[in-house]
Amino acid sequence: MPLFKLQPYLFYTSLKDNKKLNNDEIFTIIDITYDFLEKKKAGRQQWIPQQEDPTRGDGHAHIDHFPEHHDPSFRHSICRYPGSRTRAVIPTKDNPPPEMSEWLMQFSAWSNAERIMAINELIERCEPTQVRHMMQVIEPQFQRDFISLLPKELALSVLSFLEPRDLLRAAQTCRSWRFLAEDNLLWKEKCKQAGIEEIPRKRMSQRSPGPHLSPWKSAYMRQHAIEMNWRTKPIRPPKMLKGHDDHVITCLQFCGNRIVSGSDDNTLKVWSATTGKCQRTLVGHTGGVWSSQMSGSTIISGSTDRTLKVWDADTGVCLHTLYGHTSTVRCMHLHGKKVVSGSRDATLRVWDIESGNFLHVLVGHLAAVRCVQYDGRLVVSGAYDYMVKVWNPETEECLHTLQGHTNRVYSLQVSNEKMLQTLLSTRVDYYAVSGCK
Amino acid sequence: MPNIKLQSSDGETFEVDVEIAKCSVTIKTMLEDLGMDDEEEEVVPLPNVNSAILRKVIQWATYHKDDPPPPEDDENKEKRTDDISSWDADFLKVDQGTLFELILAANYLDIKGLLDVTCKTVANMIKGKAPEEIRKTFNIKNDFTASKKSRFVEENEWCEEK
Repeated sequence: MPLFKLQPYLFYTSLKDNKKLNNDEIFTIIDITYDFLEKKKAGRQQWIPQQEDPTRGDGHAHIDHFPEHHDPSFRHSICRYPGSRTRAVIPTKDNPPPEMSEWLMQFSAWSNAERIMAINELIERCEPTQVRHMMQVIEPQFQRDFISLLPKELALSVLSFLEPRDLLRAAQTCRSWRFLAEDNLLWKEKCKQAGIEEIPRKRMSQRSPGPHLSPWKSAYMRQHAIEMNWRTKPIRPPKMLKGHDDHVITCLQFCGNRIVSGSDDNTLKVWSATTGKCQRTLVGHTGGVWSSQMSGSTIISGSTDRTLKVWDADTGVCLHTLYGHTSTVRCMHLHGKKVVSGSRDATLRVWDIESGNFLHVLVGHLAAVRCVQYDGRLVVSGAYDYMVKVWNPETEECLHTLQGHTNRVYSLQVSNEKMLQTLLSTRVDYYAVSGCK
Repeated sequence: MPNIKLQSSDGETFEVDVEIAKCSVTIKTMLEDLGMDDEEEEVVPLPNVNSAILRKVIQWATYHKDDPPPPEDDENKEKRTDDISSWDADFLKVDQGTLFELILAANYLDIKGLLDVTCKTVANMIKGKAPEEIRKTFNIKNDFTASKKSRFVEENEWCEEK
């Protein structure tokens, strides 16, 4: 029984490198290990002295049986040899105990059943620390790196069950996990669940291309960052845009990172919303600016000089000056390439901003037109004659006149065509969306 | 009920009710395509599944034989992992190696229900864990370079919030 002549420690350290163990054997070791630890816990374990060593005294290596857990030399796996020779050497791979190879060869020669029996016996003889060591060696053999080892589509199927937060953590475990956890379709799905329907367009002033491979992941992270900013970020001090001196700022528009202010100092100023700097001043009107619209880099302004001007915000050039109104242009609404302006001359005019052509005039109000909305099909206007009118600009006819306000109409909102039509049927509903003063 | 014989990669033969075997779309298609007669004593070889795993798969399929067929498209289905039945949870209390092979077998045999529940089980092993805990769970080596690690700071902040 050479197996039992040696200390078990040597046996199980060799397990690590011994690829000859099959699954059953490893299972058995684990089972026995658990059993053993349980027994140990319950204090029921016994150290059954093995049969007397037949080789004792005949020159072969001899190991004391090992019930003396109090012997510190045992814990450190020091082999003791008969006679006065006591070898206090910690065995290493290069310096194995001389009998070990024989012992392992014997083990290899055994059948499965014999091996299992030997393992059982071996574990019985182990100290708890040794058994624990055995477990540490064996356990990783049963671990599987699912994400790295499964075929890609199966690994992704596993990852698809994770929430974004877990996906981010998974991406930090190792490279192959990161690669899969960055999968674009995976994040597209997460975006869909979070109600993010599209990837935001690359912004002009993007600082870096971003650390993520997946545009959808970037979109998700961006959305989340925005949400978190709303919830937790302290409010930044407001950025002051100083200009127009002591003059009144009469109108304000913004689009993207650009802000346009109009003033009764006859100018408009284009500001960068990110830096707060004034990029350019649009000079040309000969009277105060009282209304404006913008879309992309196109700016339209209306002035007390009775004109509208169309500007290019990138260059600051005035593209068109639109003549026609006989008094201040007080309000306007842009839709596509058409703008509808309302004036103190009680009319509305429709213009093409690309060509600068005058298209239609809407006559019917009895006093200054103060507010206007245009949805591409219908024009709705409010005026100082206490009336709201709905127009068909193409035919220049007034479809409805909404009376009921007892003072000037200063503002109105039309949410959409459908709503407009239902609102038109009852005046009371309409009042709910039109400001009255 | 007619039976069918399934042979595992290591040569063991299992006699299974045809209806149970057909929960594997792979076997079902094979039977339909080959027009295998129920009367014939044909043996279906399954070279990708060993006997230990095939035994588990048959056990699962037998328990779930009366389940309604899985829905065709789960495109818009919510991805839940907390809906594993207690029987399945018990059934899947196995070592990672076995779970791994079950996933491969479910995929090869095309058993959607089993594939779903095994993938969910792995997902649950990942959920709520810090990267280091995940590595420990699956015996993964951290192979990131130091510079890459610093990039994670941003994402870590993300994880802490909420």
